[in-house]
Amino acid sequence: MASYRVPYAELQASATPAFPVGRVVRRPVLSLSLQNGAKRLSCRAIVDSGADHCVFPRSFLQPLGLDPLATPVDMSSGVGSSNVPMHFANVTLDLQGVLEFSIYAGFTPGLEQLGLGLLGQAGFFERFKITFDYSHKLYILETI
Amino acid sequence: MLAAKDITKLLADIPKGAWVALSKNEDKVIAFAAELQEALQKAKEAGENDPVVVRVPEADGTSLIV
Repeated sequence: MASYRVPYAELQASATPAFPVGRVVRRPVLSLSLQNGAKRLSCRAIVDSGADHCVFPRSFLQPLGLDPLATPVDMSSGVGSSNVPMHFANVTLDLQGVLEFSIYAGFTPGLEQLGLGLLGQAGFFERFKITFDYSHKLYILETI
Repeated sequence: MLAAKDITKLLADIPKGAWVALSKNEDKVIAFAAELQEALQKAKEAGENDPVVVRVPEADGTSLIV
């Protein structure tokens, strides 16, 4: 079993009416690559226990050589949206050359505005025991 | 290892909503465009075949609920 202690990504957020002096936002963000055969796309994704699957923006389909008309679709819901089509395909997830495994990933227009992925229960949490230690600014991924 | 960098300052002068191709080590912007494919093409022309793609948020504010 391998263990990885990963610092939260810390983002310096500017001031808003709700946070008049700005703030530091901590997110469990990983940089990773998706592969489909010889096609590869590198991006960022949030480790998200609330996501059923690993999910990415729909526009990632094309650079990965995946045809949206040839991929099965499920409908998805999230905060502020419902009945959003999600295309599914098998791809390889490469965690910076440290770990590599196959996932059945969803691709949805619901993530276009964010431009990043979500690493969810099926495909990611099923492979790791994950401990979030916000007060110590890190999380721990232990392979199962 | 594995941790993502704070790229807030890198993206500060890029238009909202743009797709951005970062260098592999995420320390500089290679290209940006309104469409993902265009940003990837520009990065390829600049010699970066495997950039890390991110998007500049359209929305004001800093809270993210997913």
